[in-house]
Amino acid sequence: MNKALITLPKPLKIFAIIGLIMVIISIPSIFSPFIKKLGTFYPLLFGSMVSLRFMALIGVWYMKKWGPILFLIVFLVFEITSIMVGISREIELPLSTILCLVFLTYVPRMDDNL
Amino acid sequence: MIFLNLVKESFLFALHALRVNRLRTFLSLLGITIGIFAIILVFTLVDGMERDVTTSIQSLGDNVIYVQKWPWTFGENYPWWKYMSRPLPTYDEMESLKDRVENFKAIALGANTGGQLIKYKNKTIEDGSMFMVSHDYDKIRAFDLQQGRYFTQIESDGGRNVCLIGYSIKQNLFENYEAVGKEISVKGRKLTVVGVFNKEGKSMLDNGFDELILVPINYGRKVIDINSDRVDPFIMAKGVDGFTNEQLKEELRGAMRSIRRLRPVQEDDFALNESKLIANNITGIFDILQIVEWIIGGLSILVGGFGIANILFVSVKERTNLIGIQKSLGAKNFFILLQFLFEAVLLCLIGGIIGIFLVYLLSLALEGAVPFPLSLTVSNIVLGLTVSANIGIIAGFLPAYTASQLDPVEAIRS
Repeated sequence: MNKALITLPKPLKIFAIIGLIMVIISIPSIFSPFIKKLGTFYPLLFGSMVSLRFMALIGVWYMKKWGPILFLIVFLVFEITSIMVGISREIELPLSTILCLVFLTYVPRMDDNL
Repeated sequence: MIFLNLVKESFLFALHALRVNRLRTFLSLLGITIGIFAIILVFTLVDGMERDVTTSIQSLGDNVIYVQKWPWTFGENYPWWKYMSRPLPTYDEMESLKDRVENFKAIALGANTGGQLIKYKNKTIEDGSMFMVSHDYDKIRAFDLQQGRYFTQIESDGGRNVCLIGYSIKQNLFENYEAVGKEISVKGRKLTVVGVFNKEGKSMLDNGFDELILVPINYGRKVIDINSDRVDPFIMAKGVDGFTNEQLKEELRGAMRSIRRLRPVQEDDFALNESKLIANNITGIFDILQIVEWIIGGLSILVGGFGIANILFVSVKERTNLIGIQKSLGAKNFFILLQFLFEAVLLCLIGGIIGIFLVYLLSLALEGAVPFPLSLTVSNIVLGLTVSANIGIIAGFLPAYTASQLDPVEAIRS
């Protein structure tokens, strides 16, 4: 695909910004007392998810196919672990689902390379 | 294999970049060091306090209800004048409770008095504490004896002049010699030592037995007035196994009301306390402390993260032509990305490790200065390293990715 043709569409830009805000908000949660109480290694897992989600959003911003795919994987792993440890994510779950769906619809127009 | 070599080589490149700019490396990791230090220090303190409170509750007995004049916790606008006029629990009330309450394992009366002059030969303790208890106290509070035995029923009931002494008192008066069987003098009255407690140490809720003398309450009644606010007598009740504190409280409330002949419209003129009450209050304080430090540490880490991102952008700018040369010689985007990402993560990890090490040093320095044990736990170390690594990834990914996307021709030309 011609690199010059791949520009970031406006709706995708808006959703990527929303995603980035969500990631920035969740950074302090990595070392929050609540997350720490869930187990010795849960902050490690939670932190990895936040970092990977951030990377995925950078990928989306640069219109790279790996961005939405990584976002989807992180979303699924995050949901499974949240269910396993018994955390309810009433606000984040619908937002993440919408972001995931929006990003995936743009995958055909994205670049295959890193 | 090629992939591993790539990772290794980009790691070495990152390490080299950090070594070349030592001062810049040091200054940029300061923010992370301070942030991790603040967060892990508070978590270490709070963990230490929580462990101490848990141990205290276990030693005091988490299923013991204390019948007292004063409640341990007060609500807002508590009517203190009402509590002032309440009667103190008495020995007879303790005996009556034993008859009226069904589901109890043990009920005992206790009273404490300080400022006792304790002597043995030429050795003196000027401000000793004397704790007076009825016979069943040993069924309520768990303790270990180093030497000797607990009071016999005859000694307790008859108010014999016998005592058990704490570890510190034994060390001060007898050093390493045998204490059992010896006579000590408390405020001029002779007491025979029948037992010595094991060393217990202090905790936040319980001062332990180390610095007190335990005597039968019937002996105490002979020498001081135990129905006085100065000694604040209290009844302790322990329920049978499987009986909850709430159930025991209800039974005690009913029995105490009937003993004191309170009419249904009258309020209780006694308080039913349990160690959980204090623990809940302390836990509430811990939670506030954690949140405050979470905000302070979080801000510090945020500033540190921006610092790292800034340094990485500068680094990319400085090494643009080097990136161009590497790319023109066949370096993959992935290799360039890893180089800068490793640099950021390494920076943050070093900052985090220094922060954790400082907490460790401080915990060693504060040992003995704080009334609870301080130790850096595995979960706090993991947390510190996790936060550092994640800040490194988040702060370094964008500069690293920008570097990896550079056009080799443009990069060499710059």
